[in-house]
Amino acid sequence: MIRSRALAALLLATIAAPLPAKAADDTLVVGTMWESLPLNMGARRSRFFNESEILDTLIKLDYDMNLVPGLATAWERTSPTTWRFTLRDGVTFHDGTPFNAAAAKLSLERVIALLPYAADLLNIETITAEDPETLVIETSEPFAALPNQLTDAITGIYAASSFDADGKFVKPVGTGPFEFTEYAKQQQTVTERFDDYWGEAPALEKVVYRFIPDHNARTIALETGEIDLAINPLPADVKRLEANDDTTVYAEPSAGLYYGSFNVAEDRPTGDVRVRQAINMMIDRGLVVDAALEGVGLPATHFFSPSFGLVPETAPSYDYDPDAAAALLEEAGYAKVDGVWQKDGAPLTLRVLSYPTRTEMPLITDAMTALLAEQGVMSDVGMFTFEGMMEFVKAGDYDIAVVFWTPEMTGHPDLHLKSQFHSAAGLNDTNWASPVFDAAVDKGRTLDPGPERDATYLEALTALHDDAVVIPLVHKVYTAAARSEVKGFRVHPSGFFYDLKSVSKQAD
Amino acid sequence: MRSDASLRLVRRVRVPVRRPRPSAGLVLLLAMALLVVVAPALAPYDPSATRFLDRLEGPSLAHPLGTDPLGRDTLSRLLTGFGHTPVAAAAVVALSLLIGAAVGLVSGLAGGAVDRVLMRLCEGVLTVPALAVALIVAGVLGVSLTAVVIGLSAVHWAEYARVIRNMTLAERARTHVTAAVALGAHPVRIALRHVAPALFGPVLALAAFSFAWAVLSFAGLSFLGLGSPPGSPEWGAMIAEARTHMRSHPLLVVAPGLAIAGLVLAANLAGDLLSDGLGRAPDHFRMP
Repeated sequence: MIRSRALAALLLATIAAPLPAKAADDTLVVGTMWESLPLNMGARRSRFFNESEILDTLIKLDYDMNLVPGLATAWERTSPTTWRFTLRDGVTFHDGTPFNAAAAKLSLERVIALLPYAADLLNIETITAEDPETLVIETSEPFAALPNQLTDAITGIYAASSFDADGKFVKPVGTGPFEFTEYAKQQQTVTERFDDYWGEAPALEKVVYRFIPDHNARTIALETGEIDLAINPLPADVKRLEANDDTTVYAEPSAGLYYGSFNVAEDRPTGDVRVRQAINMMIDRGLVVDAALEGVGLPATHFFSPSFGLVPETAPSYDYDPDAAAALLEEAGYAKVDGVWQKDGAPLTLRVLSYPTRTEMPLITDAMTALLAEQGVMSDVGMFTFEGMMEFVKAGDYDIAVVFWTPEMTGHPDLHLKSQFHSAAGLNDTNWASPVFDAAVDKGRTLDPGPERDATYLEALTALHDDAVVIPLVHKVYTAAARSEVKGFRVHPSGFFYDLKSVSKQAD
Repeated sequence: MRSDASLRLVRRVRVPVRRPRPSAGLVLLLAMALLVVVAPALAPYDPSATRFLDRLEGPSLAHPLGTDPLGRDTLSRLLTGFGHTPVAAAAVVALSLLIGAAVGLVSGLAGGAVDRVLMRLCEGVLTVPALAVALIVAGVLGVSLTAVVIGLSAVHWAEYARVIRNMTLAERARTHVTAAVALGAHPVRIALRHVAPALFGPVLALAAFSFAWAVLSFAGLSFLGLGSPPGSPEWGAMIAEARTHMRSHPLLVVAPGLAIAGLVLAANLAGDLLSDGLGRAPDHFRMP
């Protein structure tokens, strides 16, 4: 591979010069695809606080997506709308102040005030600090999903000193094993071990998050030892990193679904349910995984990944069946002329939108439209920024939007179904409204885990399936690659957690 | 001393130093034009036909440049690409030239206040980076080659206008033009009959350089996802798509890269030959 070494050297000379020295044994350098924005708690980026373990949530998810104690050691539902949390004793914030029910109340109230979607997520009516170790939360409706929603990183507990006198966010001060020390814009964020951490002390002294958005540069930085851990290496690079003795690849199924979201408005070709069903049957998901992701992903026919057992395995799905798809299109009034489906002389052409800022989106969109073209369904593809794409989506000027969401993230089906497909949801841009689905999803969130909840979500997923509102494409496999001296790293299935407190560096 | 023999050989073989002929540049330009017309027709496969079983293959007899991640034939995509970037770049040159020539001739011949206003306008336009305008136009009209052609031309015409205006001034001072004016010829006749023909050579050289610039701009914008729609066999877009496989399959990046480099080089060479033979194009027009 002299050729690729030479290319690597060339790239390195242009991108990463000059090389910083190799990090010390108790310092871990992580190369990230997105910039960590520790001074901004808004939106998706706030999850950085979870990934970096600056903050703790009240409840956490273990590696099997089960709820486990975080800053709360026990919780119970004392009435349909009341949750009681027993808080962990002897926890201090990075600024030395004690963690207690009053602190938790203040933090959650600040988060709800500052992040508009936190209110939708949590459905909290009132928060009461009954005594220092007891927090009582009243929800605005019966809400069984609350403990799961409290694992979402945006609900991390901040010390009062994270906010200024006006209640605005200043910097993250939490209870996690690492405390925030330094941020250099577009370059890096540094966190250091917090010695009074309530759990087992981490082996690492310091974690540096370097922002290296270019995938090739990030992988090269790992190969040369400039960084210790690279998040999201390109699927095309995974094989080479696996073969390299100096690097180890970690790949596990994680929350995340790449899917096409249909516009079901009547005036679109995708307004006909038979067209949507046919498209679902026309695409061999295995080929999408191979072509777009070099096999790093799981072919998806269901909305929720079967890896996590969130929903009953009996949920229906469309299997690859081009003949059945053709029959459906004929039934819908289309005829195949010269290998292209037509109706009234016009070819069936879908307006497909996606966004290239997530590297794999164009590849997946390309693969999907190519497979549709093989079956005679044409596409007019538009790539925009995510916000640019959403403008067209909101205006209803599309047939399929190829997107990525993390439906399994909190370990409860409610999060994604309710926020994306409920007819009253602000994010529901599919124009789909199903009373059956709405009722099932509204009911599901009130039920405790058990057969009734399973049956209710099965009903919701069946409605989603029967109307073919989405075309599931690929379940995410989360990848990271590390130098081989990095020990103890595991991929967390939520896809938003690094668990670096268990990580150490030891040369073999 | 590596070898005296080779030194002697170098001394003996005298390369006749000759002024390059402009016809060589013209021939080069024509050859490029021919390539643009013929190359897409030579593609052995449908450039967008996918064969998932043949994905990411190396060079072979069936696929001389291999296949991409969707199993599309790289050579076919490269050849079809001749119908995209070069055509769009030529459109920018033609559109800019048309507007620039009109403004330049009017400005140069009219002089006075008209000249001052038009030239200040040109200077204003030239302070705006063409790529930024192209980005904005693409944002408004949607991503397409047409949008980029309009965006680039909207700024680029001013370059032509300035150069043509200066040459017109020089030309106007010459006696045959003065004579035509003295004889009471119509200004349009003076512009087209007496001034324009003298500008033809230098402007052609200039066009060759600006063509090279336009090719690079297009490839750059398509690389950023703003020129051609994704999946189209445009060279810049091909490079952008192949980035993910750059390390494992470098040919996917190198092949369209060489096509762009070759075309830019050829256009610059043609420009050099033409300007050496026909009069110099201004230096600031040369592309690296």
